Amino acid sequence: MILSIQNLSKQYGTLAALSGVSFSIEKGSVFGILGPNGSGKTTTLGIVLGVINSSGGTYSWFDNKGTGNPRKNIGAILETPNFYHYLSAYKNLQIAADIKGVDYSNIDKILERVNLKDRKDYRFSTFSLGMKQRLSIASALLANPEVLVLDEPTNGLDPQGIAEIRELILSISKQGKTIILASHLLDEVEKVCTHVAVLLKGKIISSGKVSDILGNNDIIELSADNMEKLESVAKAHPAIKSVSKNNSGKLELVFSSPISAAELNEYLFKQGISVSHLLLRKKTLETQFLELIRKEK
Amino acid sequence: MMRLLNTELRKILSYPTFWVFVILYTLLVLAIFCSIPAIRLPGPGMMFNLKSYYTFPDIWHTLTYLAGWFNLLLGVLVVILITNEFTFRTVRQNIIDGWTVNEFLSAKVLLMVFMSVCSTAFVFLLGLVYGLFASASISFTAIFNESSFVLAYFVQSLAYLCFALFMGTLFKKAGMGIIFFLLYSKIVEPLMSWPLPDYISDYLPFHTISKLISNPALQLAGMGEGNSPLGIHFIFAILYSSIFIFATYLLLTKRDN
Repeated sequence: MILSIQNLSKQYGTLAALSGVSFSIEKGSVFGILGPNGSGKTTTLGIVLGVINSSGGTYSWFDNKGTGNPRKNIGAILETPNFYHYLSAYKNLQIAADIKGVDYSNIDKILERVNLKDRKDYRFSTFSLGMKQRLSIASALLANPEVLVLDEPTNGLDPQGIAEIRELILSISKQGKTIILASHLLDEVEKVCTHVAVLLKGKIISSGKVSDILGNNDIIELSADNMEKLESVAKAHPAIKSVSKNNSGKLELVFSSPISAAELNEYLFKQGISVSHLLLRKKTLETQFLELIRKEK
Repeated sequence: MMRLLNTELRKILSYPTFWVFVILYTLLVLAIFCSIPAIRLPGPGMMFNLKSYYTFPDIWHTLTYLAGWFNLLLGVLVVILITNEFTFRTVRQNIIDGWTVNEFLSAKVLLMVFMSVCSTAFVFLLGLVYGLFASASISFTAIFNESSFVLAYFVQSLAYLCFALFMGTLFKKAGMGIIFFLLYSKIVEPLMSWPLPDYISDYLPFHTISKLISNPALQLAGMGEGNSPLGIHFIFAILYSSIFIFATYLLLTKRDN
């Protein structure tokens, strides 16, 4: 195991930021920690990275094998890009290299990889948010670590930047490295992760393979002149999972296996229903959460 | 150890504020020390004979006493340097990158020792050069007779910096750290000493640190304490420095960074 966490908890005064969090991360996986803001993602990562003291529980990196500080074999960014504002990008990376105990030969290559080579002698304080974020990813990659820990790595990036970072994560994962990714974006976790743990209010409400947990998350929104008939017909569909009415009076259908809008439309038409509204949309993280909580109960 | 110091120096050598303080300290010590002999008090009876203060061996006492005032500048600089680590959250990043809390603190203490060594070396060179020009008799014993003041200056300046490190770590923000550093050393402790008997107030941190090098004017007038600066206050200054470093260690380990 790369990382095992047992029963981790963190108390801030009377507030339980984390309670009884346990999971393990296998070598080579891309492990997503998914949860809304304030669910305890950063607290969990802060504890295992040694900057937040836990109130209980244990964790171990690399099964406690290997000598020296395990963090030297981990590249990590936590929350915000943390650099000396008055130093250039290059000098900031030199400091990171000093601490990691690696030489400076990699710095130029890494800066090129995150498109910051032209700006390497500029002060960190002159950087845009996206550039700061890319510099912190460069810093995490610097020592060619076994494990990469990324906390909301695409925060503040434009769509092109987001796509680049995701490609970068996938290409690093292909080299057999382990990646731990915290995100509040369901879409992001789904696109890059192999495994996921879903955190809500400091508790793990679900964890496992991404395909098992997030599976099918399409919602089809429907309405027709005869809503009652539509509802009974929808409920009779062999692959139906749930039918519910939303605020605007439309039906929301979830299927246990993917279904296209055309297939559904054909099915309904055969049953004698002409729909006046048909919309296929991805479930929001919120709905997904609500569903997971419902499953809990 | 050299690696830690190297990294620490890399953090500050391109920092303009660092150089502002270094230049300010150097110029002020130089200017104050060199301009005092030029002051002519009016009236022949008031003429103050400064000659012995500025020749070997008493020059060491005079110079380290004057330079001691400007430890304040170095203290404020250390508050800024340590609070920067909290403001930029680089203390967190340094630890994530692989330093232990111990290494982080050791690097800072090494830097402070380095700063004290540099300021002491500067004071030593200034005294040596000035003394060689001003003194009539230049013998090895005359020059180094009272050079223990230079060692006392090193300990005094380091003790100031240790207190600054603690205040900076405690308050985390430069403004707060500087205000409380000054407030405690210049107002709180002097006020505390009023109701307290001398045998207690003399050993409060700042009293003991400043009494390490007594006012040379009082001493030459026969009002000062023993001549050697390596007495009880020397030991107390080292003791307080260790306490401040240990308290900083506790803050860094018990608190979430």
